[in-house]
Amino acid sequence: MGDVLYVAGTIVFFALMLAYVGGCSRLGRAAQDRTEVS
Amino acid sequence: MTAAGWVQILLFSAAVLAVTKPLGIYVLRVYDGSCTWLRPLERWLYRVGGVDPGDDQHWTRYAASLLLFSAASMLLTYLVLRLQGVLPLNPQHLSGVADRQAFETAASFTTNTNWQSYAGESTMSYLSQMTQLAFHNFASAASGMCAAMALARGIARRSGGRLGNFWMDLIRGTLYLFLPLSVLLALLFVQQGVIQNISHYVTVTTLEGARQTLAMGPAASQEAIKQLGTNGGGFFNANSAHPFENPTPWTDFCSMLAIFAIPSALTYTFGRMVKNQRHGWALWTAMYTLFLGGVAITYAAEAHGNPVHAAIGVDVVTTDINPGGNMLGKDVRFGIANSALYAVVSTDASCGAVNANLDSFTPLGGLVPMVNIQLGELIFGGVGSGLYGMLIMVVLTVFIAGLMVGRTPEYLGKKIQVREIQMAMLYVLAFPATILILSGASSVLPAALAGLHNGGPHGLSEILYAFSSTTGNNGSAFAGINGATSYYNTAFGVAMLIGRFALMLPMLALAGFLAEQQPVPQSAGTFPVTTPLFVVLLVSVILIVGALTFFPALALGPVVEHFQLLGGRLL
Repeated sequence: MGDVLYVAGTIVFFALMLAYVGGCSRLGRAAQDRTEVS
Repeated sequence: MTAAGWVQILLFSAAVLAVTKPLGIYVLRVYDGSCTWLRPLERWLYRVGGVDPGDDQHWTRYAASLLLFSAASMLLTYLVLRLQGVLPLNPQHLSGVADRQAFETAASFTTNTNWQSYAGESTMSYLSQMTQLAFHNFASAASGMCAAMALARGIARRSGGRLGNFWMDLIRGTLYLFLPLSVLLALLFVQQGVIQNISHYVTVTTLEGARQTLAMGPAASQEAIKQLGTNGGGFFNANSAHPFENPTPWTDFCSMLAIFAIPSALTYTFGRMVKNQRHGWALWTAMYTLFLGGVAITYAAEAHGNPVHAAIGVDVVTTDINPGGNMLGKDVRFGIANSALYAVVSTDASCGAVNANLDSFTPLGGLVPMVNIQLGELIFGGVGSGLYGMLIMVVLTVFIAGLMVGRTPEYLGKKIQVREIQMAMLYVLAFPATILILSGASSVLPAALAGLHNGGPHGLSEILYAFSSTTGNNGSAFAGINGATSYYNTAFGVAMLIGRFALMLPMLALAGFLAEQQPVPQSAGTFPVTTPLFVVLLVSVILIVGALTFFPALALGPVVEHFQLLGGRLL
């Protein structure tokens, strides 16, 4: 049971980090769009 | 303090300065592709790995490659540690590592932390040590270098957000930088008496007639990359206080130099990459100023000794035949100066190796290593991570300077705008938030308090240090906490993963955003980044950000402890 939890937890963590990359990219694009409009 | 102690500290400083330029040039040649003496092997590795070295990756792909590599290697390590009992190269027939400890160890070595809640000699088989832990010693260090090179390229060039090729950087860093230097250092260590074998453990009879088992193993090869890669995980439980890992003053000196060599050289490399060598030296000066201040405080505190010891009649005065000061937890081979210097070097960098027991330092002596970590380990710092941590602070410094004069901040021809500051703030906030939230929770949760061996302010210092060390990917410990529990194994593992990747990703995003920009020419209003004023402002920003963030917690831990000690109380 412990193995399943730790392995699944690791995979979920790295999946979240991949989503974080996308989030940073979107945040940067939105900020840039606002900067160019202003 | 003694003159001999300061001479050693200044000699060490001179050695660090001496290696900075030649090694910095070599590092530059490694990553710009002009170093080719292992080209056939390099090409073979590209072919086997399916790597296209001409593929210039966008920052999102660069980050995804780094994550994929880290995830796969961490899961493989977890599997090997769990199965080591049925795998070869296990002459002591050690059983598989417990699941919680395997998770923590895999996270620890993947993130370049090397926090160890186990004794290596009684837990890890030679196979685990040689194929997994040693592999991560190289790979995690090379990954850190990849991230630093990506940020330097983002600042140096305009490439539509492209930062190079992660796989090529990883291979080149490992092949041309870490492997050759490790071989040379390992040979020096072997010559000095560090052991390197795969023998059964040896049982000997001591002078008193007792039977003692001496652990064996391939220590020298691990020791070399442990220091060069700012990993810090000891082959033996006592780490660099163990005579088989660190037998002589010369190995002690070379170990410290190995820790600082590459991070120091990177300031020169960066200066060359951005075509502003004076800026590289300005970064070096800021780092050295903070380093020297830390050493001075730690050395003074430890040399002054513990007033409670003095009150009960212990002689804490330094004489020709008495080291004086606080020798508790220190090896007589190294003394106070080298123990203080080692502690500061190891925590300025994200190394975490120790040659003395940090928990036995005076409150002020122990405060400095903790603050070094909490500042972000950017005083030379870890290989790669030190440079990019410092560059994040430079971005903040330039931003603050720009606000002062009412101009859009610029840094080396790139504008620091909203999205760049957003990424810098994500980096700066994730680090203390993780440390303080987990430390706060651990100060009240019964599962956490069950593993704590000290109460009062020292107990809080131990918790705070542990989460600073794990989140900062340092790996050193105050001890005093039984970290081998389900709670701490899991919490530390999570802290290490967040501390590595939740910081690295916004930094790579910042690099990508800078690489998308068209450079702007310098003007009279551009804040110069090569002057003493810049160095003073940078050091001030680092100290103020660190102090504002952690001072309340430090005030309840080591600061209270210091005043209690002055009042003659130990707890």
